[in-house]
Amino acid sequence: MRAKRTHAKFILPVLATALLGGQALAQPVRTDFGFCNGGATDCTTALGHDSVSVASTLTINEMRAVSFGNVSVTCGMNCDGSAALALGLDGSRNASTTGGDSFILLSGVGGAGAQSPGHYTVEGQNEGGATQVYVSFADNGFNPVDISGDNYHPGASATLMGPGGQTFTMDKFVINESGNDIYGHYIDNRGGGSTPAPGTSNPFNHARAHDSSAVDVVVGATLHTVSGVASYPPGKYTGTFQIMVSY
Amino acid sequence: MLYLSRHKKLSARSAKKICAVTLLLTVTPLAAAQASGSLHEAQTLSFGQIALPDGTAGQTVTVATNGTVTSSGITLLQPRGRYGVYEIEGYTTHPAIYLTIADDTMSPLVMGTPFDVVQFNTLPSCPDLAHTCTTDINGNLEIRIGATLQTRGLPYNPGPYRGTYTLMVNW
Repeated sequence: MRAKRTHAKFILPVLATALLGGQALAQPVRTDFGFCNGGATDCTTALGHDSVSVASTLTINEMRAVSFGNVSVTCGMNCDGSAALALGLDGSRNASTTGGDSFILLSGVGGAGAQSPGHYTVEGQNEGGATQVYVSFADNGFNPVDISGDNYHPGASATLMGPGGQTFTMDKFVINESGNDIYGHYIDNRGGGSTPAPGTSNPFNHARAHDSSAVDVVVGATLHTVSGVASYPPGKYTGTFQIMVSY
Repeated sequence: MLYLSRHKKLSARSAKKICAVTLLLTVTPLAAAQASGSLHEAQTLSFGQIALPDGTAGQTVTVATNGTVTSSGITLLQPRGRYGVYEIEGYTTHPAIYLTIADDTMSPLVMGTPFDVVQFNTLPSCPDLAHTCTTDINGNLEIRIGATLQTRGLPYNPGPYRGTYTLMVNW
């Protein structure tokens, strides 16, 4: 009899749990990450980051445009979009190809050809304790274009147009960044005085007074031929892109 | 089952009762789905650069998972906001998952009024057990995160605001 009573005490609570199996699934499940939601049997979590920048007196001015210099372009029957010309922050150029197109650097291989990286100055008032300025790029439709090795927007580019309406594309922007984090690529402010901007050299390594939030942005990029273009007539090819700065 | 080991001397009737209970327990589906893989943030959620004309509460900026950014009472500047992106990788057991994110806040780097970040949503949308998502053949899934930024009606100083939120992947 005692054995039966003992077993009855154990059995009933267990049986109750089994019959209520559906409701047991709806109870919060505790894991190392806290309680899973809404009936889950397990879960995992990750920390996400969000941000916003409230506008201030941050301004940006173009001191010199991005210029790829003097080149000639050779293609087969038609261009196949395979040639690339990378412009570095120090003004150096590197031509490459994966097909029938090619850039020929004039005025000597890698030498002077009127090329120049872009130069922009950013000034602000260090609002909100900001010590860094984040830089990003977009085409004229404000569609983001990748910077410095990112691959979030493959295929996005700015456009240059010249004689006969022929075009080049421009992407893979690079800047004299101080670093990058989850919020993007940034440049530290100068910290006052006339400290040369990081990564700059002549003609940008100049001494001039700035407030503590002044930043020099040096910009390089990569130029591409476009598939389907019959040929590139001699002349000047120009275009515009958006450079955006924020805290 | 420990109680059975302590009470080995059982009558035949008791043994039958215990066996019946045990069988009932076994049938009840309480097995947990085991899943493992990685989850990482590929792109932060950003509301871009904004200008606040006045200090009215309830002004908003909404970043949608299709990339559109809209606002009410707030001026949108460049750069525009963008949705967040998470990558789920290697969940080769392909569990049915759903995603939950609680409301959060964003605060200035120095002291000041925070923004509220509410109405988190995802693409694909799988907010509960009745609406789940699954990974692809490789156990991967890309998740876009949208949300709404909301003012509190107090002065907001210029500058950057940062916040965090917790994405919970449930299965």
